[in-house]
Amino acid sequence: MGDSLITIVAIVLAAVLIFVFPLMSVSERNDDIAQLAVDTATTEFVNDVITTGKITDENYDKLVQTVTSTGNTYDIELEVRKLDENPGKKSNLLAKDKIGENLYYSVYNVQIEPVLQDTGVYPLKEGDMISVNVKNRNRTIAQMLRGFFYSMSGSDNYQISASHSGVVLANGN
Amino acid sequence: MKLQHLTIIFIIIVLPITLLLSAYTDAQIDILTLQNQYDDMLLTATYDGIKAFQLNASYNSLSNVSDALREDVESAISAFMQSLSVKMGVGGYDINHMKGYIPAILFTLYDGYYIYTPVKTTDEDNNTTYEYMLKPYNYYTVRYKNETGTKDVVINYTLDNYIVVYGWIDGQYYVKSGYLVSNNRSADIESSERLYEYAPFKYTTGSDDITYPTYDNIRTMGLNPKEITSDYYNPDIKSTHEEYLYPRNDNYYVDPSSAQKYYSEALEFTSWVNENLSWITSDMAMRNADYLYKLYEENNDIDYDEFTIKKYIFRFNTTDNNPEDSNSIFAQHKTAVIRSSIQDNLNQSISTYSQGSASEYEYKLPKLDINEWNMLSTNVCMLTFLQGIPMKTKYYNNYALVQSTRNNLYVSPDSLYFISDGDGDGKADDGYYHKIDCKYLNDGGKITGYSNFDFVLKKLNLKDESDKAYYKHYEQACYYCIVDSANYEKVSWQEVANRRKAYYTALAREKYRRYITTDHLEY
Repeated sequence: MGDSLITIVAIVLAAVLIFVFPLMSVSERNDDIAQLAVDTATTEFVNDVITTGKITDENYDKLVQTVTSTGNTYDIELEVRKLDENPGKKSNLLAKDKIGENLYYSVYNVQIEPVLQDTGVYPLKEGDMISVNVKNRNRTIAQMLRGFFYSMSGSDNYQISASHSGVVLANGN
Repeated sequence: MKLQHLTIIFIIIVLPITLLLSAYTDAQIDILTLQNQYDDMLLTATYDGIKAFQLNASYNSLSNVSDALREDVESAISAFMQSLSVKMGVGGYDINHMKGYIPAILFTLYDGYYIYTPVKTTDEDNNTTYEYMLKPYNYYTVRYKNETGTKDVVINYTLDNYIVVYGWIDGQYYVKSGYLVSNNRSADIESSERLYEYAPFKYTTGSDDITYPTYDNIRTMGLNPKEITSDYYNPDIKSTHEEYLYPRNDNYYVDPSSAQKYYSEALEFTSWVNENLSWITSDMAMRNADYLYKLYEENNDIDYDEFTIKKYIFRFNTTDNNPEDSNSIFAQHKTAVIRSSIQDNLNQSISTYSQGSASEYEYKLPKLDINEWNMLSTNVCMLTFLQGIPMKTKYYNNYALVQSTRNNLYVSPDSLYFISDGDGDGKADDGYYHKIDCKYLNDGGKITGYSNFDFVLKKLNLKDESDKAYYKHYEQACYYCIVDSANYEKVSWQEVANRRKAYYTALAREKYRRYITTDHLEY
């Protein structure tokens, strides 16, 4: 009796060790590699935008394609902060070591994507800032397996995320 | 064998494999993340360098004089170093540690370039050390000699269509310089321009105070921009006026017919070039005593077929050779000359450094692509190299190239901004400055173009006084074409006579106003 109980426990343990443990490990590695790909793609995209001074359809598509080729779906959040130096001209320059008072105003995906679709290029100017946030929207296998064994609180848990930002270095048009 | 044993054996086999694999992937991830971080740091530090250069240039009214430029370049490099070492977390004294990973920095200017690199120096006890310094200024120079040796000239190129020629042509020694143009645009040129800008000024009698055109002063004192093309401020005309522009009138005064003079002088020079230099073909280019095509043939360098094909560079009567066009034979050849000069010099600097360096890493010049070479040969640029930082299993090796967009060394056609003034007070009627192809630029008024450099903050550093800051123009950037050009639709300005005139006049005048460092060769 006692022997067969141990056998059952051993079979369950073996099943976990043989299937679930490697699966978890492999899927975790998979996520790591996806993370790496997403990180690199995001950095490349941002660096390209800041050195050329424009977001092009091509680059954006490349970013979308590279990140989705990891087998997950992603939210790509673009934010461009546009530099407006005009208010600085009207300041009184009381502090002589201060270079004006500049303002930034932001545009996001909703403003950027229609322009990209229409003209293929979203021009920026020197001094603007761009930041890109990429997060996975679906649950990856690793997340599911982890959820099976222990649950994590919060609904917006994401496994793969990359963010990158920079100041635009060139005038785009 | 029992099942339990099998399980244990399985674990023994699988566990190390998984651990090793995961460690390996982690290491790769770390390397790539680190590489991305370094890329970023290098790029932003280079941008800081260029920014420092632009700030210094805009606060220094003499900043286009070559000696002042050397200082500006040095301070740009020190800003770069500071920025990079702070970003890497090794600020303060450790900046020298950081320098070991920077084999060279290239700074290209209007008519030549500086290389900042360690130079081998020997002290009195015969100890050889490598010290970082700015190497002497290199001009974009190339020598041309015909086969019989009767013609032997050296040509200094620049970022635009200005060249300096000196050397022997059929037994006579010439020194000539000027702009090359093939289109006579005199129909589109304003013969007498009126330009306005705000400037600090001083009354010649009474109080010794300088009046600054700050935003407040303009409102409270009702200041208007000064007409800098007026004879009133012409330093050559010695007359007494109640005021003069501070610090000196000749910093401000612009000849009203500058644009016209640009074209007449350029056409004269171009016809001289057509007459005397039409024998030059691209394969005659030499450095010292060697033909460039032979040098590159030996090294099997395929990037330089420009020097093997026989093309007439200074014959401007063909349609494919407009010197102002970036695709012309002249411009292509110029790019190749600039590239070969920079590449060979950098290569030499970096490999010399590599030989003397204690590090195992072999420093090498990375290959720049054609777009980057085009950038380098069309604007003031800073190119930085960061090599040999150990990253686990690899070494870091990358470079960053940043262009300067606002400087007073060089006017590019897209660096001009325009204002439309209908009532003749020297200020834009709508209060904004625009690009030439903006639909909000009013064709009804008088359109005048200024360099974008004139719209940035100026500072006067005065002895015994705090710095004073002001703008030359208080117009604001147009929201449609400059601040946010996302929905910007260009209008075809070439068809509007008023705009065409404003554009070509401004471009010609700005080029004429540039202080050109190779002027000293003409004596």
